Amino acid sequence: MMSDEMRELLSAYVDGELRDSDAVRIEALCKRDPAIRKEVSDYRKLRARLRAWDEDEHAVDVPPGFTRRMVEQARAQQRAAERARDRVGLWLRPLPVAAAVLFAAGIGLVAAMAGGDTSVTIHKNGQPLAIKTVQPAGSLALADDAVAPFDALKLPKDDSAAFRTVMRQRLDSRIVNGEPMSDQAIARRDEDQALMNAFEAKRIRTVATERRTVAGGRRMASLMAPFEVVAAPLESLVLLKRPQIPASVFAAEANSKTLSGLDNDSESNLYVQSLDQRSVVVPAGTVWIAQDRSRRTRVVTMSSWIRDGQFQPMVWADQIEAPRGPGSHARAFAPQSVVLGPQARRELIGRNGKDNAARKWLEQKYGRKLSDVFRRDAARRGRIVKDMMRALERDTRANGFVVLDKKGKVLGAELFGTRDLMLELAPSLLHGYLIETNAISTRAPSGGVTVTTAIDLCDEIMGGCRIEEAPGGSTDWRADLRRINLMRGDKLRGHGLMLGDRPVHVTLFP
Amino acid sequence: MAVAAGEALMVRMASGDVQAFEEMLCTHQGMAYRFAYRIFRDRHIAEDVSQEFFFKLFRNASRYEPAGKFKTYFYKVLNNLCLDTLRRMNRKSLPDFQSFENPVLDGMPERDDRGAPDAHARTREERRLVREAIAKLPEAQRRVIVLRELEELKYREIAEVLGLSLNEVKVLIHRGRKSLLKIMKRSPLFEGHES
Repeated sequence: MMSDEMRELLSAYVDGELRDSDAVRIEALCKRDPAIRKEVSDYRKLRARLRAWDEDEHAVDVPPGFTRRMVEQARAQQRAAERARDRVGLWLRPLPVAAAVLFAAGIGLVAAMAGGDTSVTIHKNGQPLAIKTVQPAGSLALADDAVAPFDALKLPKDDSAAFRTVMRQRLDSRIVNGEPMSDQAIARRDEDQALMNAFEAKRIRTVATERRTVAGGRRMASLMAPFEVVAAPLESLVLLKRPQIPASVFAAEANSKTLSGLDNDSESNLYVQSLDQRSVVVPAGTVWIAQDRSRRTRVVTMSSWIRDGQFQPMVWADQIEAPRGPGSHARAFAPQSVVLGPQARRELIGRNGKDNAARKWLEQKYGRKLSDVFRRDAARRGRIVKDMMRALERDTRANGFVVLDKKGKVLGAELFGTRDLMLELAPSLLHGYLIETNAISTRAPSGGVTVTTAIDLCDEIMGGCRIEEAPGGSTDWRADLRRINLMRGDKLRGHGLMLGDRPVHVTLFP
Repeated sequence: MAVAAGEALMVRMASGDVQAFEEMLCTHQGMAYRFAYRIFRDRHIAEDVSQEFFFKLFRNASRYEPAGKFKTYFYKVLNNLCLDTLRRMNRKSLPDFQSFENPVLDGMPERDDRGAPDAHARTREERRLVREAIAKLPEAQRRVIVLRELEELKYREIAEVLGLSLNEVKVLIHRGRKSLLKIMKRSPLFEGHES
């Protein structure tokens, strides 16, 4: 049986449009299979038939006198064009004088309107008045000298109580609460959408020319720069590349080292979608530790859980300006839930971390030995999550815990501002870990390895639930494609983070 | 030869050389006229379109980049002009090939078959069959088949002229031929030729 793709090759073969290797394949097939031979022969006959028909068509010739008429017309048009040019030239001669007069009159008029301060009025903010127009914020972001993305976020920089209050206020999002957006917000969203569409149109062109893709990426980053990150879709956040970092470096880093939250972390990897070469979407429920080439480390924490039966999304975002090093990572330890990326885990609770700056910082912060805080030995003894729960219950001093998988690999560390908060949230968080713990690797028949990722589990889990979209899904919000689906099963409840129609992460609650 | 000459002529036409324009007409008018005729099946429209096309070529010669392939450029401009004309005529698609007769050929004895009425009738019938088969093709396939089989453009050139990807062209040609074969095989005339 021959595939359609192969049949398409047959047609190209008849036309001599195949590469040598493909042509050899087709010839071999022709030798083996009389049906293919027949098909090739049919195509050749068809070509001959069409060409014969075309020869007949060639008898349709250009009408007599066509060339002569055309040439005469061309000459006449050329003469007319020359005459017109001469006439325009006559008109144009006094134009510079007229322009100068009009310009002077214009200056006088503007000066009169502005109270006579000519120089200030004409050159407001160093820009000629003539080009001053009202520009929406989005188009300003598109400008070449737009503010660098992270600098535009304008996040508070300390973890004081005032900051937390501000954050909580911002988190009280209209979207999450399902309240209608104000006209102003709708207008802003529409404007952003229009700009995004404009960008998309531009991007298509730049892809076609293959010349300005990087510029397009930069503009994309700039476009997203001014969004209010904490009021943006609560299940995700966009990290944007700083302008001075080459796009290729960013792309490589997004998949490997510098953005340490991604490193070998299957759960995180599921969430991360590179929108372009300059941005990465970070999902809910993770800590994102990003460190750029300018050695500034930024940490973003996003969590969600159900409290009192209600969906409670929370976001913790921080921008840390510190030299590269574990100390800066450690500052992510806000009095909120923290799930660490592997690199941060190694640095914070690593095997040889006696001199670890993060350790020192934590010990100072908590006023006790880190080993007491984490109860590493106890954690290592626990082989399953259930054991970890017991270890947690026994530990009355630590406001946090470490989660290990069945092989003793550290899956994450959770720290809390208060013990009550920890006890309240721990069951939900541990259920979340179950998904990762249950990821299974199996050997594929071909010799490769098949990994059952959280996506498969998500599908399975969500298949047995009643699904309803959470109010205020964020699909309309700028570039974000995600939304939260609430799940209610007979024995479980939770929410699934959706990318399009596909669940990419499920969080279950007891 | 004509292609290389075409590029050189365009360069000369860019400086307003009417002599070059005349040479362009002599070497390429047949191609343009026949292409337009295949689209419109009307001699007057084909003449008008060819005329407009050559003037357009002359006017825009300065914008022509010799680095591009002239043949592709030629058909691209011509194809676009035909589409514009069709739009002006409020025709949503190409006219039905079937509904037009070849005013020159129909009724005219075939070159090889003069004096043989049966063969003449047979050739006419074959021509009708081909025309009908092409007429039944969807517009996209028809356009590609015309450019490939009748204008003998390479796949890459067709892709450039129509603004399609190489793969799309491959698929369209394949599907077009498949449909043509299907239609024509129904006729005993085609089968007769096979044997």
